Amino acid sequence: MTISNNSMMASQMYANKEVQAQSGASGTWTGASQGAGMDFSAIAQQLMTTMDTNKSGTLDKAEFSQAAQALSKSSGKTDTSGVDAAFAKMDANGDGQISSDEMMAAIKQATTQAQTQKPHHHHHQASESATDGTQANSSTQASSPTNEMQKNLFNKIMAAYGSSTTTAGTTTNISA
Amino acid sequence: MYLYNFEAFTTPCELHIQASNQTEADDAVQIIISHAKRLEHCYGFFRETSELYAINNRINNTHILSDEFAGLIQMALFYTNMTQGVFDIALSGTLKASLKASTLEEYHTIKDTLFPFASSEHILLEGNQLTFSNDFTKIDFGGLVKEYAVDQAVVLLQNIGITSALINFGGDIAAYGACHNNPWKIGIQDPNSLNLNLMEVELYNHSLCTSGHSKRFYEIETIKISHIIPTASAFQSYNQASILAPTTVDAGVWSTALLINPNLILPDHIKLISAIE
Repeated sequence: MTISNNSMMASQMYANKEVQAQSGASGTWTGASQGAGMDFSAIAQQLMTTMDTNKSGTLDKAEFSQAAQALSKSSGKTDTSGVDAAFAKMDANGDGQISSDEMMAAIKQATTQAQTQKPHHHHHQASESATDGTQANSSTQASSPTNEMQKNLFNKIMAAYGSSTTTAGTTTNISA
Repeated sequence: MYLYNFEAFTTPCELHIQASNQTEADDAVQIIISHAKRLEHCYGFFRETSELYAINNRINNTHILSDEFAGLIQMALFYTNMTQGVFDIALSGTLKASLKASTLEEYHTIKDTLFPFASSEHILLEGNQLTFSNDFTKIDFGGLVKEYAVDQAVVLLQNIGITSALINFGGDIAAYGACHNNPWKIGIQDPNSLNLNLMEVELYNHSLCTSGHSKRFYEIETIKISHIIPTASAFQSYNQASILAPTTVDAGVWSTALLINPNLILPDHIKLISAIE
């Protein structure tokens, strides 16, 4: 499948390969520049190298806690109660591991939030909501952003069927 | 317009985003990728850490699901009803075990054995509680969750103030807003000649999904078996079907269902724009 506008033809975008198994995608982001003036990737990699004591390529909660405790000691702080929350926030896909991509995203987000003087309030607020939503996958909070998005999608689908003469099946509502 | 390529749901994905600057576009893409990866992790059929995997490889037959998971099941059951049982998450999920066969004979044996359990009639959703009637029925969100991710990507972009983007997850496409004040133009690839387009479609705030047997398949004894597993009674006459719909989920489900049973009658708001026999 190709995508184009009047002056541009984008690349062919369809899986043109044999599918033997639905293994997880690498999720490698090969997009354009990943930071403005700051090499987030290099910073993330450096932190990963330091914190990843078992050299698995990702950080588990034990490694993260260990690093947080070391940081707390060095800064003279003793309260590490926020470690679990921080870990959950960085573990965007909820798999119990922080990957270098997630580390990079967290650094970038923290850097961006620190630059709150920029007129991006609406943007950051929404981004935070989305991030929170990604962590709420296993929760049953009815008001989480994920649930709200799903509800909105249900409503949109039902609105289309509500205005459609449907003969394919008996009408069943999705209760949002 | 900023262009990004990445991989998710085992397919190449592409994003065109109209943003005021590179940083804004980068941030938007990070959010979308993060969200797509989360869905992939939660609902990947073969991903051993997924919530779906735990349920399919269950010890007992009753589970309390997360709200989102329950919502996806509910959505799937809605489409099972609307497509008269053609689109069925328990059909492909249960029969997927047959695709691990090393011989065609083994494939047919496994498929025939599991077929009685390959139906949503064997699952019951009551609130967030999902109950299976047996140990063999499994669920697969293929044809639904990638499309769901595309629809949610649109919402995520809306939430951060982006007004124009094109989201393409392996052929499941949502055109959000306009492309330089014009509709987005999508070329539908000819499965028999990949360098050619069958047609071009103009999209504005609409979704387009193309399902086909030619790109994704399993191979047993050199025989290609489509990743879309047909029911025993249905016959295949479409090799590829492209559907236009208000949501990507709608487009994806109906394009998948039409491949299995081309005789399905589509609701008025669903448009079959291209079909290859």
